[in-house]
Amino acid sequence: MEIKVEKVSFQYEDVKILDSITFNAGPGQIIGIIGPNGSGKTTLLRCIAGILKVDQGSIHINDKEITQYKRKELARILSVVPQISSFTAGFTVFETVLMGRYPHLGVYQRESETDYQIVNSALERVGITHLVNRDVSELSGGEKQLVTIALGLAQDPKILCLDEPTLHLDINMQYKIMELCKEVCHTKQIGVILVLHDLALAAQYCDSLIILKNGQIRVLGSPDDVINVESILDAYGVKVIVGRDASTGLKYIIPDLQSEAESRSVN
Amino acid sequence: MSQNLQKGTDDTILHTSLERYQRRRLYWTLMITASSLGLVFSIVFAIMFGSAGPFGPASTRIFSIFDVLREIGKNIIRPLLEFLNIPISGSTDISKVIIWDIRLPRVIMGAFAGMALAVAGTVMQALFRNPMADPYIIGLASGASVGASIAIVAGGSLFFLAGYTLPIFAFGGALITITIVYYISNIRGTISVDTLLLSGITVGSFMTAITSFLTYISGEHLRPIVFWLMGGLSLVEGDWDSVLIAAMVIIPSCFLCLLLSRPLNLLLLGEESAQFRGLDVQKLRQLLLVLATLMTAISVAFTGVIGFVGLIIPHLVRLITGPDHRILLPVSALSGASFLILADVVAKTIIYPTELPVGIITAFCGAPFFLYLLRKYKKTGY
Repeated sequence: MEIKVEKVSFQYEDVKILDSITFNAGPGQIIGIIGPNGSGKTTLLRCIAGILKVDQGSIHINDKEITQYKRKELARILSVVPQISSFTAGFTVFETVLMGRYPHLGVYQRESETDYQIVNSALERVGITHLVNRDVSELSGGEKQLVTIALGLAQDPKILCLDEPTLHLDINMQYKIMELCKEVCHTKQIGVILVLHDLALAAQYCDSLIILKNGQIRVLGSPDDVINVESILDAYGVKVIVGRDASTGLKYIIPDLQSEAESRSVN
Repeated sequence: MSQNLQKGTDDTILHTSLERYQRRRLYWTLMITASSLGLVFSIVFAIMFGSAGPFGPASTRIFSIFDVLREIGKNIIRPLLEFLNIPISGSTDISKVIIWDIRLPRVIMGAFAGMALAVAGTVMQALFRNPMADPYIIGLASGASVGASIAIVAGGSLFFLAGYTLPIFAFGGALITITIVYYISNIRGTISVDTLLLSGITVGSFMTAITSFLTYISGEHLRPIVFWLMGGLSLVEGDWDSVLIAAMVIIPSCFLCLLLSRPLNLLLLGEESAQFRGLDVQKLRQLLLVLATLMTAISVAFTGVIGFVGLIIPHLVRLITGPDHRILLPVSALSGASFLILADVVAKTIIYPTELPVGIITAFCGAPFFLYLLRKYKKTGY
C-alpha cells in the first residue's frame, strides 16, 4: 500500500506550519522524519492520518484521496502511535490494547478469536506480555509508551506512523523498539513512517530520511546523503561531528562544541 | 532453550488473561441480573409503601404484597388477554385504583427519570473526561427552570397546551438553552470540550438570573416554583400519559447510548488517540450531546430538577463495575432507576403527611454516602 503526499500545505490561522511537502512511502520501507522542535513533524502525521484537513495539496493512499476514506476505513489501513496517550484507571493492558481492534469491529460485533490473536501477537512483539493483567494507569512512562505502540500494532495497519516512539524509553528499549519497527516493516511488508529526534537511530534504521525545517523539506534522501555536517547545521543550527564507528560502520553524531566556541569568539 | 521457556510462559500468561477477559462476561451478566432484580424490588417496595399498603396501620391497610404483584401482572397481560378475547374478571376495586392508577405511574416515572439522569451523567463524564460532570453541566437545568418559571408565573395553562403547559415550557427552555450553548461553542464545525463547558456555565448563569428574577416577582407562585426547582415526582402521580411520553424519549436514547459504549471507552484514551483508532470524535460528541440532552430534558420537564443522581450514580457504579461502558452504562441505568424510586419513597414518608421534594433526599442521603465510599474505595482519580 503506497502513500503519496503531494505539495501539502497546512496553516493554523495565518501561521504556515507545512509548506508544500511532497514525498512517497511504500511497503517494506522505513521513512524517518527529523527536524528541530516546531518544524511541523507532528502536524504532518496528523494530516496524513486525516484528522487535520490540508489547505493545499493532497494525500493519497492507494490512489484514493484520504478525504474520501471514512475514519474507520482509514484506521484499518493506517495507524498512528501518538507521543502521549492518556490511560484510564480500571482498564488492564489487555483490555486497552484490545481497543486497537475498534476499526475492525462492527457496532454489535464481539471480538473474535482472530482479534485476540492479533492483540496477543502485538503484545508479544512489543514484549509486554508480563504486563497484560496490570492496570494501565499504574504503569511507568516507558511501559505506557510500549502499550501505546502495541495498541497501534493491534490495529493491524498497512502503514504505521509513530511519533517519537523512543521517547521515555531507556537505551535498551529504544533499540528494541527500532528493531521491532524494522521487523514489522519487513515481515508484514508495511510502510513505516517515524518521527525521531535521535539522529543516530534515524541514520541506522531508516531507509530514507526527511529533514523538516519551518514546515519545508530541506533534504530528502538516504541516511548517508542526509546526515552530514552541513545539513545538520542548516536544520538545527548546531555544528556537529558526524563520524563512523570503526567496528560497526554505524554513524554517530555529536555536537562540535569546540568549534562552536571558536566561531563564537571570532564573531 | 530459554527462549522456548520464555515463549511458554508468555503463552500461559496470555491464555489466562484471555480467559479472565472472557470470564468477565459472566460477572457482567450477574451484575446486570442483580441490578435488574434490585429495580423490580424497588418498584414493588415503593408501591407497598404508604398508608394503604401492607406496611400501613391495620385500620387503613387495604392490600397486601400479593395484591401488588397480581395487579401489576394482570395489567401487563391485560392487552394480551383482550387481544385473545379472553374475559377478565372485573377489577375496579380500590386496591387496583391505588396500585395501578395512582402509584405505579409515579414509580415508573421515577425509574425512567433516574435511568435518564444516570445514563446522561455517565455519558457527560466520559464526554468531558471530567468526574465533576453531570447531566446539567452545560446549563440544561437552568434553561428548563426558566421555561418552568414562566409557565408557573404566567399561571394556568395556555389553552392548546392544556395540562402539559409546564412540561412543554420546561422542555422547550432546556432545548433552547442547549442549542444556544451548542452554537456558541461550535467553531468552524468543531466543538471543543472546554468551550462547551465554559459557554454552558455562562449561559446557565444567565438563565439562572432570569429564573431568580421571576421567582422574586412571582408573589404567590413562589412556592410552586421553588418546589419545581427542587424536583419531585408528585407532579406525575396518576398520570400514565406523561410516563408514556417520557418513556418514548428515554428508552430509545438510553438504548442508543448503550450501543455507543465501545466508542465511549475509546474516548477515554484521549481525543487524538481515539481519532487515530478510527473514531469520529466530533460526530460521536454531537450524537451523545443530543441523546443526553433529550433524555435529561424530558425527565426534567416532568419531574423538575432532581440533582445528584446523575453525578453520584455513575461514580458509585464505576466503583463496582470499573470504567468499561459496556457494563457501566446498563448497571448505571438500572441503579439510577432504583435509587430515585427509593429516594422518592423516603421523600413521601419522612415527614408524613407532608411531602418533601425528592431532590432534597437525593442530595441529603447521597452526598454523605458518596463521600464515605470515595474515602474508602477510590484509590485513583477519575
